[in-house]
Amino acid sequence: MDNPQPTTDERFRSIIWPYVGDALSLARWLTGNTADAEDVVQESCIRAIKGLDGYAGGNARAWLLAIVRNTSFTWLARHRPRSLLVSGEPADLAAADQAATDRPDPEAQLIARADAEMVTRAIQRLPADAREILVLRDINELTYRDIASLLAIPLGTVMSRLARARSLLGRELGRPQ
Amino acid sequence: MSHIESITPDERDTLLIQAYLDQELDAASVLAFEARLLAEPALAARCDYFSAIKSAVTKLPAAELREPLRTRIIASAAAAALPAANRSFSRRQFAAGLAASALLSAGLTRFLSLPDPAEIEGEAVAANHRRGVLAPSAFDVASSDRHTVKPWLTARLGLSPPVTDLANLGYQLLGGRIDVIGGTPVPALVYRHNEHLITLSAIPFDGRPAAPSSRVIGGLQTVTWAENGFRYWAASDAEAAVVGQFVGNFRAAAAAAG
Repeated sequence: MDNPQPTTDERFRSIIWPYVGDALSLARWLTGNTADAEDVVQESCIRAIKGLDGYAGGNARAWLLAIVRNTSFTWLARHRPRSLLVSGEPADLAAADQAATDRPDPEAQLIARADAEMVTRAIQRLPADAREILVLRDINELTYRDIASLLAIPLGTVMSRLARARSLLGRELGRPQ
Repeated sequence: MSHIESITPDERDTLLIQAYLDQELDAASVLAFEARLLAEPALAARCDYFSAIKSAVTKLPAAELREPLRTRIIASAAAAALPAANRSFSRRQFAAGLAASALLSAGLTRFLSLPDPAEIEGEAVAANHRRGVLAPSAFDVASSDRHTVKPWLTARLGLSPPVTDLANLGYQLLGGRIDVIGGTPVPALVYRHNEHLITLSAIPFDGRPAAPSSRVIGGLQTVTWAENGFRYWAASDAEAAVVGQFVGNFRAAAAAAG
């Protein structure tokens, strides 16, 4: 006897609901504050449940986060269009490399002393594409492959963008406040 | 963006450092890279630098799913799940608190019983423990010898949690089992303490470590924590204190084994 088709609430429960925390994290970083992030997450869950037929299996977390990212950009375009005009520079590996090597003593200890509020403010100061890839990797814990697929960029670009983002963050954290 | 082949050795090292820190290198490359870290102080210093930056981000507290948002999401998801003809409630009405009555009248009370996301996994763990207790045998491989259980699990799943000998502390290893959680096969160890069984499930997980937290799920005492590549769940009919002590002993023995 065939298994009955899962109901919509069962699919919501297994495909969407477990990753709502990740959705909130990503939306927080992309919109810049909790209240806006909550609106984006609510809208994203609605889009996700309506789009469940388009979910083809695979990494459900990455699938939902792609929806959250698109919903965030739509939201920003509607409410804060000017913030979208500032785009990041293209990933420049040489710049990332330079940032890491132009100090004789990389300030690992200084960075380790930075508290959560300092780190949060420093991340918010980053260009949007640097901030986004840092969040997808170190907060949402997506693999390089999933990030490449979500952002539609090659694996090599994921690595070089991450290197640049981390160098920029290191430079921000190394600055006296 | 230049092709990987045309970048300088220093630039390639920068990329390697990211892949190493993010556990994206295969085992052979990890060995080769770690050998270089020992031999090249400048590379090791740059790796420490990027590692400190990565830690600064991963240690940030996670966003919390607060209650008003939680109910809003459930309510609007329930409404979105209705066939279009019945979708007569606006999102504003849900925000105004009509969610509960709207859901009841729509017959979608199943949505109201959504547990915490972490509890979905806990429910699966509890169900597997119960099934093990009721089955003719609670384990697929019966052995009190960790040198038997660990290779058995590794041979079948490609991985195994540390299997520790806790017999002198009152926890007898009975064997191992393969459970299915979230559609994925995961290893489980079965211990006995007096008349109770304790199931220890180990779900592969490469996220940040988490301290043990306990909750009662399906009438069972459960404790969950994350470290060293696994998210662990201990589940048992035994009292909370017994389970807590087991968790402490298991973690200490696993850490000592290295």
